[in-house]
Amino acid sequence: MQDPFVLAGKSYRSRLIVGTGKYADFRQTRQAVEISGAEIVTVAVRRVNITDPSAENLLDYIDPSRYTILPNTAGCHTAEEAIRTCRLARDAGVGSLVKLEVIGDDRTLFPDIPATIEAARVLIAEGFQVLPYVTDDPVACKRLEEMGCAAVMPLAAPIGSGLGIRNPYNIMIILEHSRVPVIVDAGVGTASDAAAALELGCDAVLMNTAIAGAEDPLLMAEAMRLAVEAGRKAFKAGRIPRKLYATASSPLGGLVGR
Amino acid sequence: MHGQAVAPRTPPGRDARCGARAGPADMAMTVTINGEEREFADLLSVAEMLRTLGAPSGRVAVEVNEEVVPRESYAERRLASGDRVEIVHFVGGG
Repeated sequence: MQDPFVLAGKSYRSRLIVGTGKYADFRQTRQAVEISGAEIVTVAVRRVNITDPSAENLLDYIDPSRYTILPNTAGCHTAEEAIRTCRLARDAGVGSLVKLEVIGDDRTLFPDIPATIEAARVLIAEGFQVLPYVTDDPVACKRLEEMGCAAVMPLAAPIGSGLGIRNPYNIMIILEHSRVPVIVDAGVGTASDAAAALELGCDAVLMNTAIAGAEDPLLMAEAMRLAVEAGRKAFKAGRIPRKLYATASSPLGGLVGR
Repeated sequence: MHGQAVAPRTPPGRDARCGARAGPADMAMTVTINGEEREFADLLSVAEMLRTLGAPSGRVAVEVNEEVVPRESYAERRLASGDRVEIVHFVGGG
């Protein structure tokens, strides 16, 4: 495999991770995921509706033998809630990779870093492979990496905000110092945002709303697949430096009439 | 099919969970499932409860009193009146 994305000991071709929330129905979810080329897919953990428990299940549409299922702890506000959610998710038998989200504020949905660190400590000790959703704080990312997280996932901007990377400088600092994969997660709005993340050198990008909330989710899924591929190639190609002044592209000599 | 499980009766003499002698009057059980109180005619195992509710045991995870019940133990783990049960599954999310 050329230029694989290696995460928690497994190699992937795709550097696009997608969520499964906010779609019109399961069929659209499946189509969007397929078109995106993503191989890792996030899911949430919620109560079964016990008055209609045999209703269709997401995993009837997203085949766990074909995709790496990444359960998240969305909605958790404490370390304890997140730990419980991860334990339940692991028992459902899709592996021990988890996206750790402990929300500190309901308007920004920014993570509660102390609680995230507390939960990560317990989960890592129990053998989980933890992917923590975190702010673009290089210190928090370093702490989580040192504890044994399998990657760090700094947000570009608030979940669903579509603002793209708010602070590329912080992301660059995180990239320079991280020895685990850096996955930009949350806040991506459109294709150029995804490409920008990969151009900076991020190992992957995770998004949900950017695709599911687009007017044409299936077309956006394709756009995102192309953007992530383009961004990665641009990164590996080695861009030109940024300069204040011009450097001519055409030869200076051999001009007619001079 | 809800509520009335035709489950094998726990043999008189021993309730596996607390060692007390269980008689017919103690067989009914009220548990809280996903925040709702449910009554069952008999003491059920987790497996029997899932079957009674029609929940597919292959796609769920179960907690009793805030502890995960491993799926290999669904058949052996008996519920008791007052237990708080959570049955969860995966749904769409980011």
